[in-house]
Amino acid sequence: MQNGLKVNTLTIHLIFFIMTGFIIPVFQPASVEAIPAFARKYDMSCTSCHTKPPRLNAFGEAFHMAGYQIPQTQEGELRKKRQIGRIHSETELMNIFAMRTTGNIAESVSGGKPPESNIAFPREIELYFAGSFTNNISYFFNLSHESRRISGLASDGHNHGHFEETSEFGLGKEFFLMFNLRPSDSEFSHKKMKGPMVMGPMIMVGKIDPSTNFSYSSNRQLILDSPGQVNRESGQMQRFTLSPYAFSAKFFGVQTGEGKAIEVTKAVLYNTTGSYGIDSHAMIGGLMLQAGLMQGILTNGSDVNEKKDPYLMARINFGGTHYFSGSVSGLVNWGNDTARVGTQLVDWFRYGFAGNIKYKLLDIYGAIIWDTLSGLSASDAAQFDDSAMGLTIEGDFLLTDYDLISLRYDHMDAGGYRHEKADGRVITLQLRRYFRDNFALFLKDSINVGRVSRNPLQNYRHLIAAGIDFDF
Amino acid sequence: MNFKSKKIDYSLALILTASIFMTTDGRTQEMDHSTMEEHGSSPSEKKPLMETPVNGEVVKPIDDMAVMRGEMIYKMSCFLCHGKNGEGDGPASRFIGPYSHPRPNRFTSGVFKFRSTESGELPMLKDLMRTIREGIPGYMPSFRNLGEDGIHAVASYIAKAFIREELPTSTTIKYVKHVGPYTYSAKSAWRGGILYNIMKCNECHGADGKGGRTDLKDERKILIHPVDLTRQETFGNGTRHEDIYRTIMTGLDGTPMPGYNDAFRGEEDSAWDLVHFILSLQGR
Repeated sequence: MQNGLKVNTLTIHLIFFIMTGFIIPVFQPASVEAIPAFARKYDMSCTSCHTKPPRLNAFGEAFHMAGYQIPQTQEGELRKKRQIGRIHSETELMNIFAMRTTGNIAESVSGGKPPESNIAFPREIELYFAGSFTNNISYFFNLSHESRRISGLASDGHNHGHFEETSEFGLGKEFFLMFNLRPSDSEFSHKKMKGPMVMGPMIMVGKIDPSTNFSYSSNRQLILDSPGQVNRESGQMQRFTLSPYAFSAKFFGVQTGEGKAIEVTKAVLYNTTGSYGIDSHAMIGGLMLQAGLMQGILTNGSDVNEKKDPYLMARINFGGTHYFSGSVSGLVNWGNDTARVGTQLVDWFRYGFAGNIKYKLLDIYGAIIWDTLSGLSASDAAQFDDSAMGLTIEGDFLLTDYDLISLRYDHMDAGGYRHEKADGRVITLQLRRYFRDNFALFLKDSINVGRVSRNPLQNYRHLIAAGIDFDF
Repeated sequence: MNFKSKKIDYSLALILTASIFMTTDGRTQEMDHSTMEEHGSSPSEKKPLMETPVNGEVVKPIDDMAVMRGEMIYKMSCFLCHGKNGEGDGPASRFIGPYSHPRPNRFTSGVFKFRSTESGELPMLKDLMRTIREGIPGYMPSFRNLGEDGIHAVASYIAKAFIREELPTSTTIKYVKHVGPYTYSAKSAWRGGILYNIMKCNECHGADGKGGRTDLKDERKILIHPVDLTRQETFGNGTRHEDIYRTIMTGLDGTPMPGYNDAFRGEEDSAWDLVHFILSLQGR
């Protein structure tokens, strides 16, 4: 069922009761097995690369940075590929194909007005094709279907907040080619051993998520977004999507360059979950440097002002022994006439930091990101707060081989039109049970620990959801 | 739990030997011609080894250049699981088996599951190379694409930096070649079924081979599940006939799986019956 079908509260409570009281204890976890494409190709379990899918552990991050190849091996499992000259050809489609389905079986929103109960499954179905064509050309193609997708509507310059809920199928979050300009080769000499080890540079071209290399990436969320609600008749936002506030737009009333409303909690700029652009990154010892250009904010291919949004990111990795690893990242991102406030195109400056520490089975990560808009018209400047900050910190811990508990805190000091903006503080507690490495049920409660009001960022106390995360 | 080689009772051995002789088809007479004993053989006298590298060449000795190259590769890839100091404490290691086996090997402990040497001994260099080359299904990728020189380099670095002892170059275990009368037959698998119970394999792996015991722990006191013998994809030490033979003879040090070399001493060809029984469980 899609598009937020509303059902009565009794039914929702019944589903929660069944899930927590009956289904979870009855199903016994199965042994770990290799599942989606890379796991199948390399004969490895999901947890070789993931803490739990989709979050990467240190090995998965190294695999990802090396262009979906195991470092130093180029294409580690050639037994499962044909080689025609320099071209790799897969022998089995299933070695490059994977699928992910996620969604909430049941949602219950309480403490605000009006209370809601929804069923939204599947919310997202994603198809992946990923692998390498040659030793130095990799690909990642993602198609997806998304229901309850909230899109901004065009405004006349005075209307800054009309949206619609849609269901869409098309290019997914990422769709790109990756070129390794310096592939490792079989030749070896003393000369190569001098100085720090270098990986890359890698070039990604297409629809990309540059934050995939950040210490806290946008796409790999263990706590899935809770979809927002839009009044279908009026187009008014009833409740914003609950997603990590650090990555979000944070400004009430800001629009894309094309003049479409941007949801306050939508991940944008460097932290977008997918936008057209070109990215390059390289590892020099424990230091990663990343630079790139992105198309205008959320312009989906078109770019009204034909300017680009450059970014720079540096990341330092540390650890590597005693079950410990970590990284810190710093980001600077310039949105070049990329958004609109009223009728005026504005620049959007974003900067921030992210960090990650993994110790044994504990994984803590977070990001703090500041945003500033400049170039507002004189009339807007008086009523518009041009700076904002978002903070997200999450900790995940494996209680057993099959049970993951997560706690996340989101904080937003919002910007935007002063008469409509509001700040947000949310704590989310989630329990996931993995019946297999690729199949998890989750139960979560997002608690608005700030003020409850009619503002779409604040109009609930509890947002409880139970859902499924399934990979194949 | 005894992690060393296990000897079957003398009486059971007699029954076993008698049953084998009753069903023998002249294999023992041929054994001298079809066995490979690595112990004491010089390179020039060596018969074909199961453990020879893919290209058939004898394993090169460890040299400084190989160690340096191995270090570079290790620090790019292997340390993520095995740790920078070879302690098996890399940052990704705990997620493979959060509360249960397996975990990446601690090279410094001197305990190695995958060997062609006797239980309790260090592996040979070619054993390390085989694991790097083949990987461990489910947990460790194959590094075949490093090429034999690269694989040799990594094995050399592990030996030099973490094991820090002279690795054996031979073993007392007899490896009977899987040829002639020792290839698969229904009769051999049937004999293997008898051995399976006599040697108490069923106590851990279950009467149906699906791995019944749930209370076993490895040397790190981590829960370990016996391999499901009906599913070859769970065989960490390889799925080829020779791999299964070697696993039976050497055991898997650090786990409750003992080596049966002593039990089969003098009757090494009978281990093939057990291999064939295991293969029959998989319908192979």
